[in-house]
Amino acid sequence: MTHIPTIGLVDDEPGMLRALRRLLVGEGFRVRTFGSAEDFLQQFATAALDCVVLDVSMPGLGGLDVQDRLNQTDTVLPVIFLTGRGDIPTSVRAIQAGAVNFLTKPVELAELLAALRVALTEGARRRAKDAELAEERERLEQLTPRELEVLRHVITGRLNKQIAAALGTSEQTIKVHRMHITEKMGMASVAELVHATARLGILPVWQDAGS
Amino acid sequence: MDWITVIFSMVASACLTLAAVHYLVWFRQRDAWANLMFALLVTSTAGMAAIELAMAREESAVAYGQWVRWYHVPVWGVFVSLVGFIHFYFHAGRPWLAWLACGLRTLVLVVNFLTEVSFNYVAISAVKKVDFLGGLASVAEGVPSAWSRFGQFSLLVLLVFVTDVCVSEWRRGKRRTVLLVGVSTLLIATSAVVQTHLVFAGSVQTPIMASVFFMGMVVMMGYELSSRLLRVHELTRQLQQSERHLRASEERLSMATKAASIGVWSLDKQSLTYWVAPSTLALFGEFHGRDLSLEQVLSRMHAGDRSKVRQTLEQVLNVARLFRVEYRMLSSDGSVRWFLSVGRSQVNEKGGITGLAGVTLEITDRKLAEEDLQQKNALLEAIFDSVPGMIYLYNAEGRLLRWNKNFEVLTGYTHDELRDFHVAQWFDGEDLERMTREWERIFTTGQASAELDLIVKGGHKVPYLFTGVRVEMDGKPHMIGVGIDMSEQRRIETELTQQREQLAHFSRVASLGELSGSLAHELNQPLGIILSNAQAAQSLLARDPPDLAEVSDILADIVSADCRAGDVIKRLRALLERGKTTRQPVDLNENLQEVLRLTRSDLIEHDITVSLKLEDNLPQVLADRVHIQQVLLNLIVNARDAMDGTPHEGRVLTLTSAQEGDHVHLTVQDRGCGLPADVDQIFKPFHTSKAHGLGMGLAICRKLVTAHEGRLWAEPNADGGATFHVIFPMLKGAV
Repeated sequence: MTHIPTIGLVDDEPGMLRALRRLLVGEGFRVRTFGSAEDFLQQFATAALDCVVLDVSMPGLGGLDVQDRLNQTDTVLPVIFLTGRGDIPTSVRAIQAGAVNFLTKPVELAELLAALRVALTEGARRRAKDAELAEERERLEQLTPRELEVLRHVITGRLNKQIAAALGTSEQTIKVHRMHITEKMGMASVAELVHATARLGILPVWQDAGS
Repeated sequence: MDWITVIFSMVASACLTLAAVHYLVWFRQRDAWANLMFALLVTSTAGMAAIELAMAREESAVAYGQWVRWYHVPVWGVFVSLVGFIHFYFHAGRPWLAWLACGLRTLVLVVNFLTEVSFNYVAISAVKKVDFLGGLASVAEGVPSAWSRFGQFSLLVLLVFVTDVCVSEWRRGKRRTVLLVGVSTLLIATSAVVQTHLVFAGSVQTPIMASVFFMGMVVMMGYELSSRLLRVHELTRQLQQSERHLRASEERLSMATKAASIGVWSLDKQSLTYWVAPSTLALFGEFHGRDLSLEQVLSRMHAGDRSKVRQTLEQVLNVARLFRVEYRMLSSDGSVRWFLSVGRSQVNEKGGITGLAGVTLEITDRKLAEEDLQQKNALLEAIFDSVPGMIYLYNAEGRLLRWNKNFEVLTGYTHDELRDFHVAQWFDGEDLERMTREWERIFTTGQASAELDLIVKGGHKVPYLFTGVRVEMDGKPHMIGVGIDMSEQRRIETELTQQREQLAHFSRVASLGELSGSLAHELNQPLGIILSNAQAAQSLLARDPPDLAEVSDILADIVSADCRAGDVIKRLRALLERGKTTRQPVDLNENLQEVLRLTRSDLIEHDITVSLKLEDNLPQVLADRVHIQQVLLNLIVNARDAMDGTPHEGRVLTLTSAQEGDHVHLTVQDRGCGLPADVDQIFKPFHTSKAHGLGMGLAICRKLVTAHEGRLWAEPNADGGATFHVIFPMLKGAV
């Protein structure tokens, strides 16, 4: 059995929520509705949503506020905006902040479904990327503090001899550390390590600039 | 004392008394020669009486002779004065007879003194006493002189003279005087002379008593003279009286003519010269001297009047009748004086015209006043006719009496058609009823005015403003007034209303333009609901079996959303339409809610929280819904803009409504940037604090509110922001 995506709908208008829910349920989606931005922000973490459709103007917090809050978390939930007034500055701001699409009411079913498809794909991609990163982080955490230090020198592109001099140890010791790092991280090339440490936020040690 | 003494003394004294009176008369009136002669006559008679008395008492013959000689002196006096009296009294008599008589008598007197004893006696032998009137009187005895006959000749001449006078006077008709004076003189003088001569001749033994006879004559003459004196006196008195009357009437005439400035004159036909009453000369001044000729007068006359006056006078001099002519005289200083002459032809007993008589008065002032009046009338007439509107005068019965030229132009009727036009003919229907009411008001309160449609010739109506004022003319009430064509005024008013309406409309459109984004949202929301529901229904119906229960719910939602969209469009259309202003009872709460529905999403967009504090059962007000909503919309949009700089959590818009006395009070309170120091300037046109504002919104709002007899003002809040207040008068009878 394939995964049935769950779509979150946030609108202050109950009629609108009812209409969209009917439409999306009819198209085979799972639907969760939220009557306000505040409701949604409280519950979304546990709602297991694959995508959220946000109304832009609502009393209290609006759709853009919700997007801001989401961006402050590590969620990868894709956002589609649905608005009664499609002004360009608002839509530009929403897209820049990572929205998948910015739709204006009344919205055609086909248009909405297309947007949803993009969002779900994007969601899947983000989730996959997210999983890869988690594995790399897990591997990184297996390194000893000494190995991590050596790694930070390695990703600067220095030779073993240079690293040994910097750390006050033998070139042989550095070789052993490098062998362990390669094993634990599963990456043979320096280039791979550079990309991985960049993604994981490990900073290289620039000896010249350092102490 | 014996009778002789008494009689002669009486005669003498009576004569002297009479003499004194007539001397006095002569003394006062020196040409009264008759009186002087009479006085001399009676004086001489008194002398005769005295000597006769002396003779009657004389004892000696010699002395008696002397008395006789002296007796001739008074006799001469009587003789001459009698001739003089007759002459002067009758103004008649032949002078030569008079002179002859007097001359002869004087000769007698001269001879008397030349003879030895006297004229009458050659010698007197003795004096003897005779009985006379119970006493003794002396009578001479002697030889009478032959001269005595000569003395009688002089008397004869005198008698001829008197007779001659009497005859001629008798013929002249003065019979009474002739009888009294002439005949008595003749008889008495004759008998006196006869008696005297009989005595002197010795034929009769009595004393000489001619004076007594003469006394009779004197009495006759004295009576005549005195009665004449009395008559003269009476005549004098009458004359004086009539003179007084004449003077009084002359004075009255003079006063009257002076007071009326009337000149009295006559013109002699023969000489063609004027006589002017002296007291009225002043009126004519330099024009009419005392004896000016007609030509002289005409020469000073205004050339334009000369021939007219000449013709008039010539006619009246030929055919007797009254005339009246006005003419101008030229003063030497060049000024013109107007005169009016009225008079008639003077006709003598035979019916011939002798001249003209008349009065003249100066009418310069009247003429100037007339000219002035004419000019004023002409001016008034010109003003009357140049007034652009109509001017009319009606009598109280509603008949048109007078009107200006424009009246005919404006109504299309001719002068003849308008005569006696009735005021009710100008109007019909409701206007006729109103006119009737106003008409009555004019005559009760004095004035009124009304805007009515006038039916002009041809039947179409023109709006007019009519005024009317009651005026008294000839003791009767009339109505005078003006009518002003209001067509242009009405057109301008309509245009102005349209412009005002247009401006208000522009302002509404501008306000709504500012809301266009949120208005789109208000429409798109229900449209979105409809579309989504419809498409959901499509897929539900495509299933087998279709979920009809769900479809039914969907349709209900669609209907509701559609109604909502329809409402929005209706509200928008109402605000966008340029309709006519219609006042009706409206609920301000309801209108506030409607405006809020339009602005809801806009306020949400701006993070503005609306706080509503509306009083339930608010009384209705009489107002135009669109205008009320426009005002509220404007105030709400302004409040929204004022809060642009306010932190989001502080953006609260508070709306309240409440009944206050007989008003309904709305407030729109924001927490915005507040008001300028001069609060009222925000209500002025073109005042704006917005980048894209017209600056007309609040100015128009205030106009709209004021047009509803309401008020709109603003106050700053104590804790920041502003509150706008709107009050409208409560609908009467509303609860």
